[in-house]
Amino acid sequence: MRPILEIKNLQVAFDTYAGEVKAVRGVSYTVNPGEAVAVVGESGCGKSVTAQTVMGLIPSPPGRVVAGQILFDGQDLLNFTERQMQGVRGNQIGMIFQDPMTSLNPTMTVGRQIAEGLRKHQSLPADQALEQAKEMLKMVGIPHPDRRLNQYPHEFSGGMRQRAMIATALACRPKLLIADEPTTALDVTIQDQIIDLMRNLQRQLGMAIVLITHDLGVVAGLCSRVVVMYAGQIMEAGPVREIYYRTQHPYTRGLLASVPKTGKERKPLVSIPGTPPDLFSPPPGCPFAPRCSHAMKVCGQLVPQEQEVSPGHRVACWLTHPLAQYRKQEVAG
Amino acid sequence: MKALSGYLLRRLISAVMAVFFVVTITFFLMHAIPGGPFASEKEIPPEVQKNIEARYHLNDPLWKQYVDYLHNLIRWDLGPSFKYEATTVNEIINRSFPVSATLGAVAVSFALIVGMLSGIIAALNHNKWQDYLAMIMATIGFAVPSFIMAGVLMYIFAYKLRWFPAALWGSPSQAVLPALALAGMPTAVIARFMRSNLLEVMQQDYIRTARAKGLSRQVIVYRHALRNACLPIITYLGPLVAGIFTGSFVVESIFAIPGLGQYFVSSISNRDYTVILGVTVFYSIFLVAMNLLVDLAYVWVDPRIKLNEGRKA
Repeated sequence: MRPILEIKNLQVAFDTYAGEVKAVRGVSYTVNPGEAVAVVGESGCGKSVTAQTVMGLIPSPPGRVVAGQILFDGQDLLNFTERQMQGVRGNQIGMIFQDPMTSLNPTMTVGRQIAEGLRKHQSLPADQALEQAKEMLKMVGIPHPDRRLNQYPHEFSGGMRQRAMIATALACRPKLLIADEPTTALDVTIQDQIIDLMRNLQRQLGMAIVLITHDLGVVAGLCSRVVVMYAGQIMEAGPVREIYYRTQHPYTRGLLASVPKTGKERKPLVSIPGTPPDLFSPPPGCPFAPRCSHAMKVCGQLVPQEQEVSPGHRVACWLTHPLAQYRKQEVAG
Repeated sequence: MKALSGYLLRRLISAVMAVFFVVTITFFLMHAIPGGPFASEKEIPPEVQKNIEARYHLNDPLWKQYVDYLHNLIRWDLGPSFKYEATTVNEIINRSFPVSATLGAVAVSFALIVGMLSGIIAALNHNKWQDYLAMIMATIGFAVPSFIMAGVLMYIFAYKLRWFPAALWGSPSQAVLPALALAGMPTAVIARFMRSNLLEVMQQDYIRTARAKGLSRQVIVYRHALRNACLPIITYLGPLVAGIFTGSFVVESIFAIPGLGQYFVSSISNRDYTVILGVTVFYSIFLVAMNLLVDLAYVWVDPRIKLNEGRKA
């Protein structure tokens, strides 16, 4: 099966007055048709930049694709003209964003905002597009779509707005939905509903999803594969179960440990000490080495090569190197 | 509809209050200035002085003059001018306001069209030559006072090029130079406003959403950005229109235009009490009305603003 999205060795940099920021440094991952993949990592790790590069939404200048390929349905989006990209955005690939409060135009009715893409990509007349928009509102579980259609975003609650955003993104039935932190700005109870909704819509419409999040807690409910990013590189990638239960990379371990747990026992929140490296001049070795409690001498000097530890489960960590086996047992034990 | 009429009623009451305060303060301030309309260097016989004062009720106690004035004001009778014989203040306003309003309308239209267009062009070409050019022009327009602008325009277009007449009022071509002189500053302000608003709006999340829908840049600017960027300009427009419509003293006197502006200043030095009050009252009513219009325009442009929200405060 040909992947719907295949990112190959993508490198993106931003030119600033202080110098070049290497935001994405050789990222590769694939998404198969109908599959949901999570891209996880803390703020500034390049997960959003990667996704926005796929959409061609990186402001340029200062943003710049240094190298790599983005194959969507076999075609390299990086070679597309702006006009061609307009035909892809909203039509082939839909995108929703973190803050539904600010992501909708406050002076336009929700119905028109949903209908806009339909009018553009399917050349529907206004009334038919609005009719479709109503169907979309119904599909994303907004009650009284007739009335809601003519309301403005401020008349919607946060969760409702994110539903409206999803309706907008899916109006043209794209093959791929990129959800950039779709639940981060929402209440926990609403987060669950939105993830549920996305899972149902994925089954119903059969599109692929790239879910970008820093919260491993929301991943399991939706995605079958996880890509863990740090400082513009992929640390670990694999099927959800592998990542959760056969964690290889100390960074992934740290992320999993920092997911708040519910239960009787009240433990203090776990966090990973330190801060991500400065991407003006990334360290020569593994970017996580300075924060890693298992760092060895080699970690600070050489970038670890990616290894496949089991089918589909890739890790870039010196601990998985055959020569580090004794150390790894120490870590696991 | 009910919300609208209730709102208008509340606004009307507060407008009447505002005008009342303006009248009261102006009235007593005006009488606090030493001298009077008939004080002159030439000695007037005391009997004559007395007769004149009696005719204009200036010998009445101040509170009675005040009450009489309010009483006449309710019937929109602004009284006779002290300076211009056999002329009432109503006549002065009726005669000169249309002139100021015509000139003002031309100036405001120019400021709006040119200001908004250059602001939009500057924002869409951020940090390119169009942007720099527009902002240099705006800085000049902002910094050069209207009387210098008037002189320069006169020198170039009336004296050197002889394209437009230098002064007086009557034909459309006579409106061009004074309107330009009057529009200079507001054009600059609107251009700067428009540019910074549009730049800010283009950074908003909903613009990114619009791009993610695959809309073209033109559609995004036209459909999503402009309306949101125009909101702050509407606020500025209310006082601007009121100020320009009621006349700019300087520009009107340079171009010898018989507008309302000249009465603003001359009436004070003349101590022409009724004209001072009349023009001030007229201006404040106009200002209040413009502000009301602005607020109504807001409701029309920005769906987030509701009329009855004033009740909460």
